[in-house]
Amino acid sequence: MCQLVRSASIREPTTKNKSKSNDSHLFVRKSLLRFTILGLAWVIAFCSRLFAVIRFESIIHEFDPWFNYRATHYMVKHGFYNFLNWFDERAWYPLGRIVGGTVYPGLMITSGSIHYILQLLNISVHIRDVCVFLAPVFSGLTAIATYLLTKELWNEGAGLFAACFISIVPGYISRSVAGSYDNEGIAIFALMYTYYLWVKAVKTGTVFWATLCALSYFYMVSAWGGYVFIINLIPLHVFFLLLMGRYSTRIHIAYTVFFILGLLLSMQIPFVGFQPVRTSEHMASAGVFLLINAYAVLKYFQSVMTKQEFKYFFLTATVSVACVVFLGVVGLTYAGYIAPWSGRFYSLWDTGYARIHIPIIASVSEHQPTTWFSFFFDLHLLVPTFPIGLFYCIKQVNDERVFIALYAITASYFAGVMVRLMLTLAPVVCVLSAIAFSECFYFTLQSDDKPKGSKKSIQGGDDEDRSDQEESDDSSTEKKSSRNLYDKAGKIRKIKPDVNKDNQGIGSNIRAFVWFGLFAMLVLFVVHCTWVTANAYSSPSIVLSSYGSDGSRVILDDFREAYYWLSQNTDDNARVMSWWDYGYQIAGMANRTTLVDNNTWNNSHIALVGKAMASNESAAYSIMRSLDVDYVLVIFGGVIGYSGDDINKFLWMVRIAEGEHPKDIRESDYFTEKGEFRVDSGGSPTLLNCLMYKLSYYRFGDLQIDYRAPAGFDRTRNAEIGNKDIKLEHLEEAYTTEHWLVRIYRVKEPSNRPRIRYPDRKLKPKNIFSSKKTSRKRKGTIKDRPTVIKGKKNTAS
Amino acid sequence: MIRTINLLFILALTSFVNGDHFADVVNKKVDRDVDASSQLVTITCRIAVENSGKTPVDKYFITFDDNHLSQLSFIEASLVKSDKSRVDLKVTEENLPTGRQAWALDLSDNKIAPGSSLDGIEVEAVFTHLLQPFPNTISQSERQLVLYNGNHYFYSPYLTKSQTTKVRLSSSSIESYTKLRPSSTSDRTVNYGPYENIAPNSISKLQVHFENNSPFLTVTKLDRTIQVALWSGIISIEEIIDIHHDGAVLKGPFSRYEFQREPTNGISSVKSFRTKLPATAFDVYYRDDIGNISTSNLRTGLKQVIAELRPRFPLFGGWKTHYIIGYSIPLKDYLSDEGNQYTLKIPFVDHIFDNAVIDEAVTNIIFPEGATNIKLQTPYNIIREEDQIHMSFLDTVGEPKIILRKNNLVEDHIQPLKIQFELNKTVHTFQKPVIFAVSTFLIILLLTFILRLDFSLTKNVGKDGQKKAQNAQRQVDKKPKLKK
Repeated sequence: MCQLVRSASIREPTTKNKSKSNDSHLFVRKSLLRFTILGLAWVIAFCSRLFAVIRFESIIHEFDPWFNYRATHYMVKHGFYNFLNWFDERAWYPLGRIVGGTVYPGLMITSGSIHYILQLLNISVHIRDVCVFLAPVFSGLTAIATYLLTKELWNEGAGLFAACFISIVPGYISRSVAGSYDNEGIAIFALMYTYYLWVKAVKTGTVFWATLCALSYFYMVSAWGGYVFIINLIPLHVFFLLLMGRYSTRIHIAYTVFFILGLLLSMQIPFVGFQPVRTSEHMASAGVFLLINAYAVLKYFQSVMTKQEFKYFFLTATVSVACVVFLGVVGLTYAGYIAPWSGRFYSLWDTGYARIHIPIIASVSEHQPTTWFSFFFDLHLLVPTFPIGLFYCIKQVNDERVFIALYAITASYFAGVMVRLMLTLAPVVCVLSAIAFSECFYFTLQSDDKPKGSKKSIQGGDDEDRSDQEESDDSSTEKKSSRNLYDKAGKIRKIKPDVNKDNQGIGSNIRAFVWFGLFAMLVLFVVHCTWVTANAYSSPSIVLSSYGSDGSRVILDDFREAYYWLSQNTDDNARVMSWWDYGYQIAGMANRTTLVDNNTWNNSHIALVGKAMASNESAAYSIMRSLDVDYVLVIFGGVIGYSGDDINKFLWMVRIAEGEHPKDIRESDYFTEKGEFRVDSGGSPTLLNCLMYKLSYYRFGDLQIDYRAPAGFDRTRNAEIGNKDIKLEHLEEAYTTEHWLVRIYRVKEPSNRPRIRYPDRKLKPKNIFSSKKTSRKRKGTIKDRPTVIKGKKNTAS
Repeated sequence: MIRTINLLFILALTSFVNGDHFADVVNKKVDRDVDASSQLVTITCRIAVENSGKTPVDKYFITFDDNHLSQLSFIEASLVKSDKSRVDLKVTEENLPTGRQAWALDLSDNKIAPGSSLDGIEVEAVFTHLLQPFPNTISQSERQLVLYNGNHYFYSPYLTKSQTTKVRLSSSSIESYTKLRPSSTSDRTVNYGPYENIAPNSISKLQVHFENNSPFLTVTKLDRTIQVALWSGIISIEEIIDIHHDGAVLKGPFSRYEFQREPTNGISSVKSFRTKLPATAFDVYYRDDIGNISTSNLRTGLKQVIAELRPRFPLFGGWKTHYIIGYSIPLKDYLSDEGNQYTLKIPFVDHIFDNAVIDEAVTNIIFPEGATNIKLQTPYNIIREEDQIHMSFLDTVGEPKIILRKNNLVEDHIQPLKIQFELNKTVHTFQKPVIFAVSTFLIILLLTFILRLDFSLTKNVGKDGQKKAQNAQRQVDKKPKLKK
């Protein structure tokens, strides 16, 4: 049965029935198998991300990707240098945004150059399609990078497992489906590849690999702000190696080369600029750089000094250097040369920090702490198995396995703090689970008929084979040491075969059961991944779909309806006010000027928009006039029961506005006396008369969707609205989409002063001014000129 | 008073300048039918012509007053025989001696002998943008009223003996109409005439103010690309269309509630329209700059495929939209070949919606790579711009592309172009596969070459030495550690 299933499955590359006579033949077969599996992993990684394209269309998803797409489009159209100098006057009106200096350009450059090459070959592909399919293609590359990393850490079999896992794990798919054109799509590839090159550099200790690692790091810096994770994890690794007494010249060479080159290269990105030498986030790497060099110097002195001298020297040198460095950093921070930790950084340590100090970060759902449910949802089987892999790594520890252990621990912590960082955890979980599975399968798939001794020789041969494939400059000492490691492991194994020997008959059956159980688990994993991908992560979120009562699929395309209306039927320079979530979409799809967008760099501007939304109409009107707003766009889900609408986000607007304007806006005003947030007649009067409420529910009170419910019944909040008779004075409805999901209002010009009939006037000027100039009135006159009498208050004015 | 003086003056002028020909020919009877029920105005005139001169007449001139002349889009003429069979008459543009733009009907096959008359000349002329919405801004619940400005008389360089006019409207609600007696209204028509003995070039202002809620949609720009692909055997057609609602502009707010509650609310707005595609059309797509427009339907009929297109939003007066529709049709229905000589017959423009007005049309036709000697025959005047080269998949020299342009088109302009070109079949068939095979081979060759290059600084023999050296280094490294 084993054999049968084995031939049916591609997931067990670890079995190696190797005989030494036909080495080359076996090598060909193995590499064929390897290439097939990696190729399939790539294909699967690509295909499993196409749900959204097949169900909907080739379209850019969500919010941030729309900005990336717009920027890419701009770059393709106007050239790279114009892109770097791009000042976007359509965002953050009236401030504008310097786009070239505030983006990680790696994503745009990647897709732009792919598009450029295709154009050179006369393959006419629209830049949008390049952008849509970029993330799936790069997921395939990630699978290969993960394979390489795992191969370096453990062996080829584990590598193939890891490649298969990463290609389908939902934690990674969530950020890299077709159309999700975001930095993370290419950054995870860059991350894994940098780690692979780092491990390689650590193992070989050559400048070559360390340089490649720095180059890969450069690409990562250009692609995603998450590069900070690398520049802290690699120093941490070096630091731990130092602590563990595993210092060697290899590590010294690898780290110094990587640090210097990486530092210089990372500063070439305009957005990063001088941050690597000026912010606290980067100081750890510099500190470790000093430390490792100090260590190297001490090593050198140790070889030339006597023990007593060295002890003395060591103490003074360490203490004085540590003091100088510490004082230096503190002094520079105090003087303002080194920026202290940023708010986002603090929120990584204290999950309550953001809620109190930076509501704008806390208001994003992906910045919330992760629930246990989402760990299982995103990683499924890998959650319980990855500690086993970690166990193996620690059990048979060497320099590079220290690295993966540190990666696993730090990434687990960060994934627990923020949902979004599940993304960085997913690859390491795949690697470690792959090691666990590889080991289990290796153990359970050993054929019984071979005697124990030959089994050991297989192990040994395997090991040899592994080191053959490593780069030629791998030192034999290391091989020896790894042999030693395997000898240790062999000692453990020696016990196991003894157990086996005792129950030889049962043993094989048990192994078969275990084997089959593991296989079934993997099948379930695949099923789970496909299901999650299809159901949770493959919605473009700008096109909604639901199922009608007869099972037919209904597509709600209201967002694009509204954005396209804006793009076609408003003035080209019209300014649209909306909550910041929709800024990028308005700019990308409607091509209109927005006040705030998803690049939330200016909190007070966002707070001003929040204040306008939370104030009553006339107060909001004066804010809107001062900001030159022409249109106001709100999202309203009450008709179709869409829960992500502006009323549900409203409390965040209030909170953010309160942070900047505590005198005008108070969160408590929007709650009832019992502390509830209600839109029905029991709701607080401030809420029922604020601009957001009015704009959302304008004319909704007349609308009866269902015969069983009263008119004006909000399906999202399951309540009959409290203020049905809404009159707008300064705004008028400009457009509302078919399902009322997006409502656009036009801000009216200030109305003329009302004319009061002469008899009704309190002040009756004696001579009504006539503009007709007669010969007598040729000289200009000032109308109603006040007569000023000294010491008397002029009551007329 | 002023008008009569004008008339007399024009009369005197024309008779003075035109000479004998125009004095000899007389319009015996003219029946005009003005159809203003859609956004277009179609004027059909049935004319009986009498020759009172001494020489046979082989040309008959048609012209229009200034208002109509500037908006004329299409004109055609035919001769209805007594047995009701029709013969098309050739219409050529030829200015009158006064300099006025006019069209000459070629009667050389049906010369009118002196003293005799010819019945049954039928001229059909289509005018665009002639109906003016009045008032030109309306609120959402109002109906759209339009003005038709015309001429009570048949504007002709000839004397007209008897003439009637019938104005067909889209609805029976008529606000006002000019009452030049005899005139009458019945249901949806306004009848004028008969008027007797009208001098040449007489004008009397006719105005009808009536309700017209038919779609006033104008295609402001049509960019049509026809790509002929011999390899796949299809012609792919893509039309990039800009549409503008030219009716009365929506004033004030738009209320979705009112619009959904009453079907008659926003009656002049356009929610959807139908585009008739060729019967063999397949792979139809309907999209715009931000993706597929999901609100559309495709129905396959026997004679045509009907695409029911719904713009993303209803089009009210003054609103516009922009979209792309594309489809493929099999090549064999449109392309015939004799050896290396190919003939393509394809319409310059195709149906977009009923009673469409196209302000500006540009049609690009892309021929297969290697096509030469492209000859164009057009049913009407079309400007051909400078040819270009289009680069596509695996092209080396590029595909020739011709660009044709014409303004102010209506449905009657849906007539095929005839294009001939030469193409070497064998070369075309094998060019791309050979290029592909050779380039792939070269790439693989190059890769093989690169992979076999050896850039290592040390030979394999030296590797052991290196290892040994490292080994020694490691030993050195290790010793102090052990001491510690």
